[in-house]
Amino acid sequence: MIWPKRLPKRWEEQSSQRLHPGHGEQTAFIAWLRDGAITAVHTHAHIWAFGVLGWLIILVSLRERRAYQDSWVLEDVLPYVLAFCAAFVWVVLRELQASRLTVFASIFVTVLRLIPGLKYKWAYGTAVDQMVHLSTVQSIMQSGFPPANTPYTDIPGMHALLSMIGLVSKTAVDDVVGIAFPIILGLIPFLIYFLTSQLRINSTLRNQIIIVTALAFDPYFLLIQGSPFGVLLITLVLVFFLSREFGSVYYQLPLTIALLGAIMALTFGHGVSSLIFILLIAGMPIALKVGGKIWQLPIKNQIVPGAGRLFTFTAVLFTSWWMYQARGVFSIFVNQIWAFITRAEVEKAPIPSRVSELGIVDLASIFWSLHGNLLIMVLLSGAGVIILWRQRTALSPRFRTLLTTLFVIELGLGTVLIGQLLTGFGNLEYFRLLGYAIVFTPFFAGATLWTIYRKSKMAWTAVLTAIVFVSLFQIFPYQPGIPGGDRLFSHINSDQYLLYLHTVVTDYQKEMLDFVQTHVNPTATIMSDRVTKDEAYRFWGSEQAELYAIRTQAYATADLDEGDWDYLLLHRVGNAGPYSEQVEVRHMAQIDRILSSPHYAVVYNNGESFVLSRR
Amino acid sequence: MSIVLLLRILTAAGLVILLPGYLLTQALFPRGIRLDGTQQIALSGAFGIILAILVGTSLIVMQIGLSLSTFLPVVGIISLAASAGAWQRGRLAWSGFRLPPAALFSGVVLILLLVMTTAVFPSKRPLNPAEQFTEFYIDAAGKNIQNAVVIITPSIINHEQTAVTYAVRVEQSGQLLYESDPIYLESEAKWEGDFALSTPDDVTAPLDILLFQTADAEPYRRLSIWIDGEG
Repeated sequence: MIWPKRLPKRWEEQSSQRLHPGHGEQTAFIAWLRDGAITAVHTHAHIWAFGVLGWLIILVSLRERRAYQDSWVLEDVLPYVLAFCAAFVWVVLRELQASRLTVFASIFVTVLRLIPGLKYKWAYGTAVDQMVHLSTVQSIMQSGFPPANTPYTDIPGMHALLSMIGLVSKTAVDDVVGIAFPIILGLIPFLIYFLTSQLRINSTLRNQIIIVTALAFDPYFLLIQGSPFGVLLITLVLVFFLSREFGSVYYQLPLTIALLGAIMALTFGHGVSSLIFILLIAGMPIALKVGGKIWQLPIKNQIVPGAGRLFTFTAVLFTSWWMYQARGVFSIFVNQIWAFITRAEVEKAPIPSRVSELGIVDLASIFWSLHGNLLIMVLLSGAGVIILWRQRTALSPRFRTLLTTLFVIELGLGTVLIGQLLTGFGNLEYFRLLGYAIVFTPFFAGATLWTIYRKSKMAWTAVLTAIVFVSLFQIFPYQPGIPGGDRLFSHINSDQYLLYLHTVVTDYQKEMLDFVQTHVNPTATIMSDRVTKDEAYRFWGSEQAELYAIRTQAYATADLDEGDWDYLLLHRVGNAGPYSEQVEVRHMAQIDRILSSPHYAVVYNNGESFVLSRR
Repeated sequence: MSIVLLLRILTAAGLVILLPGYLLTQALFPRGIRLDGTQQIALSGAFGIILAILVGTSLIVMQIGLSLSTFLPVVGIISLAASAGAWQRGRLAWSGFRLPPAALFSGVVLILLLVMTTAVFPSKRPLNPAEQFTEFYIDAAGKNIQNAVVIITPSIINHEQTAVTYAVRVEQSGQLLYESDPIYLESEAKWEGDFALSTPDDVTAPLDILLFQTADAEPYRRLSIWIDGEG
């Protein structure tokens, strides 16, 4: 090892004062060893272990890279992830500095979110959203412009950002989206840190809030979706707004500029998120006024008019943009409202027809696989609200105001969510709202952990460990936790799940779609399941995909013989990827029956995916 | 995807987001305001994301288009202006920056550990059977009938990750009509066949076109078509 001939002057000075003045470089080196190296071996071993385990997960995920559907995301990575989670609990247990905890929380969530992007060859997600996002980024990287007639044509902010990273790194769209997206979302713990640093808040409570930012983790965030990005932009707006209200007077100008920029970025970056945000803050001034009285806040509370100004500016910018620039988004929104009012027929979620006959254990396991971590966060947050309410007089006015604001936001989201569940608006894509709601739960959930921490550090460790490990099975949707079709239908095997949480795009499907693209006349009518249709749009691009008349209705009803089609795209349940149809129409026996039907010819076969034609 | 590619994307994210964001933060916050490292990261990331979204959207909406030659100059000019502003405010001075010896030592050790982990970590693993497959297809038109001869054009693409010897056999109701010579294909290689059969007497029964891997007695892939005279 090569040591510098002369150590930094300040170390020399420090060591000279502490040890033997005049001993020069040798003394300084010993002091450096004592103060830096030897001490660091003892105090930083947990950080090194955490860093190495995080890096190991990246290496293992890369080594296990695949293009087929496996049992779940953590297959072949699980031991490393468990060790990483244990190391996370270890580091946050030993660490008292909020800044370091923030770095650990960010590294923790970023590494976990990176797993799908590293492990799967094609960007994670088989829904139509991923298709639109990937093709938009691809188009911007290739031509400089988003494709025409997509919801993001006039709000391309998020895709522009990802395209810039792709252009600079010169990487394929699936790689840049799969890697850059989780890294960008890793900023959220830092933003929460920045916000808490503007408040007079108990340092232990602050630490717990930061720790929980690593646990408030929606599985929706693993997918390439607009909503997680929207969540980040909403977080930016709220953090700058609240920091501006509560922070130092010297911060006012830069934070005002940042706030205006964040509102514009939200408006140009993700349409749905900006709409939801406006709906949320519409009633905020009144709710804050009422909440302020309940929480006994100071009367001269600036945040109420501030919230009014925030709403006004955002609403004016949003309306102008949607009316004059993003008219396509506006028409989609109007169509959706109209479809809701007229009760137009929409494609239903793949809920098995006899789901009400399932036992309580099966229902509980489905619920846990879908929303386990959310349930934990809701319980912790609920307890946190009660704890903070009881201790409200001990909290600083700033912190009380912040909590009121966040509570108002969470309440608004909860109201919209319940309304959506009751009315079925937006085809029940309620998980979008869960993503928005979960980001600010750490402020309440952290209070519960704080209370446990004060009472017993051991109990706190046990609770935190349990939350981290149990949440893994929902954060990474655990497919084997979903009951098999045999629970409802005697002719369906237990390995045919009632519901698919799988979302891997596979080479089997890609090669089959390549065959169709190169061998099937574009005037042909194609019947496929919904996942394959979305994948076709993803790989072919929307313009070319629309040349084929791709239908899904007959597939969903298993009424294929009657359906109007020339070619049928089919895949086995398993390595080729998931289905989103109900289990009774896509179980293996049904697929085998179609494959051996005397009415159809098999013209393409890769063992998992097939193309059939009519006689 | 490799470690190098991952590091490239990380570096690109740093250049596009963190660097301009850091300079903007330094330019916007007044002298005397002390931001710790974690706050710096938060603000740099936030400002960088906002700047990239606004620049990207502007270039697209103004019909200029987003490319390296358009956004790099714009972001570069904004970053230079921010640097000048930060310099003028005295926020770019490094004289006050002190890295504690323990942090320096830990950083060096951590980097060494990561490099060593990467060097000793086995990058190869056994293939999973799900990663090995073969595409077998015929032209979607199915068949071509000319002068009572059926022309069949099957294709094989080997994705078995190893060289494989195949054979193609055509049967009707269990009766062998045609068998190809062994077809040797390297990994990722493609074979296109073209062979003629006399039109079978029975056009109601399907023709089974079977693909064998030479070591196996059972067909590996199966296609089926009809000879109905409409081909």
